[in-house]
Amino acid sequence: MAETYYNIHDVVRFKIIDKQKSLVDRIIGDPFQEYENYLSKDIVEDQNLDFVVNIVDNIERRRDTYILDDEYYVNEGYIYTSDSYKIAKWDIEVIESDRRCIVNIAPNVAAKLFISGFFIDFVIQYVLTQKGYSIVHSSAVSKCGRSHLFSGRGGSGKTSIAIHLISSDQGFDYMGDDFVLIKDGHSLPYFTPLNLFNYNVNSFLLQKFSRVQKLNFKFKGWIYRVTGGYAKFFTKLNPLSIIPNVSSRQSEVSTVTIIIPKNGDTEFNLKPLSKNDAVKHITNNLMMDSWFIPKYFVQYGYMFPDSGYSRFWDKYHQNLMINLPESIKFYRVEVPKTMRWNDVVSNLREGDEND
Amino acid sequence: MTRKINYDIHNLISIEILTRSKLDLLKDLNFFLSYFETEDIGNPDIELNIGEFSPSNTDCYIVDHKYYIKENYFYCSDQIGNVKFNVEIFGFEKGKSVVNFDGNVHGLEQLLIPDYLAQNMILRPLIELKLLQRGYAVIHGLGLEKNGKSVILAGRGGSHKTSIAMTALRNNYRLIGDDRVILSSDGKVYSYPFYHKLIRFKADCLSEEHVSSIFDKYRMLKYLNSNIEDDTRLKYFSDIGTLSEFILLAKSDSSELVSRDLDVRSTASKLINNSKMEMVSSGISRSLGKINFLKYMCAYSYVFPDSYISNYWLLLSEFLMDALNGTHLTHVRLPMNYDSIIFQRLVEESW
Repeated sequence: MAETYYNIHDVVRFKIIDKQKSLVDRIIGDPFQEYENYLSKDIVEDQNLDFVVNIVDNIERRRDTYILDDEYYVNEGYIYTSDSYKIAKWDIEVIESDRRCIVNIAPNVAAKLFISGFFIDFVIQYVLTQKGYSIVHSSAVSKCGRSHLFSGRGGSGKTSIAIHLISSDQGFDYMGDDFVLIKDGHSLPYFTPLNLFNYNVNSFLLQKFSRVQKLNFKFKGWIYRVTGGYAKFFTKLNPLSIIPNVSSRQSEVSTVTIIIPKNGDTEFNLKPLSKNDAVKHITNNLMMDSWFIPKYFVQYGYMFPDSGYSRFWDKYHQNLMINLPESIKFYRVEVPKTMRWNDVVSNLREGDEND
Repeated sequence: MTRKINYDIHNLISIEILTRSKLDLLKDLNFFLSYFETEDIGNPDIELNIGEFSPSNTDCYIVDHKYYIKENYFYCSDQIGNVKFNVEIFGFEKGKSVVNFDGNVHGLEQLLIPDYLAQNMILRPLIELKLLQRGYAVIHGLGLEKNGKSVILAGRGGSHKTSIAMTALRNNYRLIGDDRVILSSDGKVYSYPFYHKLIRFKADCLSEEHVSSIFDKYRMLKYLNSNIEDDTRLKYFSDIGTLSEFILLAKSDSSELVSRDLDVRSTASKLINNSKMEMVSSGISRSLGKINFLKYMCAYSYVFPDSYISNYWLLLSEFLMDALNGTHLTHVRLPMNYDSIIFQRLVEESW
């Protein structure tokens, strides 16, 4: 049994207890690698934890619940269901107890591989939101205490843009490629492993890879091709171990750019965006990012429409309106699929200077 | 060779389906809106083409490498379980809609219900989007009518709706809808039955809800493929009623029935969550019932945050608060097992 504590900027504290005896972890790697930069050596007392994740072999559901779709078992502060996605299968139980969230998950081998992306990421987002923070799906760079966020969905190039900016010798520091925390106009980095795939690695990064990492990276690209896109494994590398210029301090948010790629015969198009529209983009972005627990919350919302679970997206939207002050410049940029990232970045900088 | 099927739903919306499938052994399940089948219509509001097509997905915004979106247009190549399909929607949020769908279920289902997926995954939710624009909301629930008065019983799957419906049919009530009804802003309920022959078969020939024995299955096949006289249609279905009572059901582990009143605001939010779930999973079986329409709406809203689709849930909520204002709203916790006492308490006492 492994018990690990995590602490994200003293805002979110959680514990993962892995009771599953699985050899697979040793072969494929740590399923909680996502949070390796927030491992905490201190043991936190239970009452100071925001949530606890228990990985178990099976879950016995409560017997005093409502039964929806003959699949979901809910009661106030309680959700239990069995679910699956492709070959991944799991039972899950979310229990709100004493202002703390307990998540019990009984995954099969495949589900355990995706346990952070499927479940824990969203629980972190939920806790941050309840505490008044905003977590924005974006990459970010900073320079002279001011940060620039590039928000987009998968394939929009937010990672590529950040990597190009920090490798361009212009004084930008790396602040994250997937998520950034925002509170009262200030951004805090949230360092998760870089999720690398063929399309977002440039030569700057590739030369920082070790020989084994390079081989591993190529192998995963090959798996993707032979399975016809069914099995997509990213190569996860800790940015703190391969990127030299990293900023860990908080900085003032200066620009937020929403990036949307476009195919066909289009031109690079950068235009200012209202705060209201930007907030809608950012909210919809996070909505698309997690699927399972938000789905359980919708089901829960049929029984308890006024609960925190059910009102999560309203609260998320409301936090953004507060945490992003009017002084921030918002942009929406349409990027042609065929455009090279060097050109995208120089166009972005030009646009910013003209404004 | 293509087959053409036309539906006209209460003169509110007309649909044309063109399919290249030759065989559908369970026609009533394959074309589950057959209650509204009609003669050829000139210019349908929604045209659904089932079969191979080449998409017009250029000049599109691309979301998650997968969703191709431009104004009023959506395309994606998707996979749910072992079902792979391509779908393209012109007129996603305004004007006439043309849907192209190419995808197959496997094995036996392909022989029985080859066109089911396109209708369940895309057409059904699309009709709901279009109806709200015309001032009507589709409610996921059972609608019963007697003497012009009607009651809606909404609920997630498994909340005894079908059992209540069967008891009601045997007690001289008529169905406005077995799983869906259409609600207008002035409190009228319009029929929207799915699988109407299957319901008539169950009411006519079976003593319980489930088609279990092989003999029953054979009788069902024979019944579904026969031409049923229209008098059973009038006996079992009603096209309109005035809403007098709205009940939200939830099955539970407990053994007793408990009811309480609801206010209109929480009723609306409950129904929104109910409808959202119906855009995630709904259908005749768990494996065929997974749908991604909510994701498609979300992807479109991400690109066009001010669009009708982006505001759909807000508009639906406003509509429901308005339409249900003044109606008696109740929440009922139901026991695990169905018993005809449930029908008496819920339905008979309302009349």
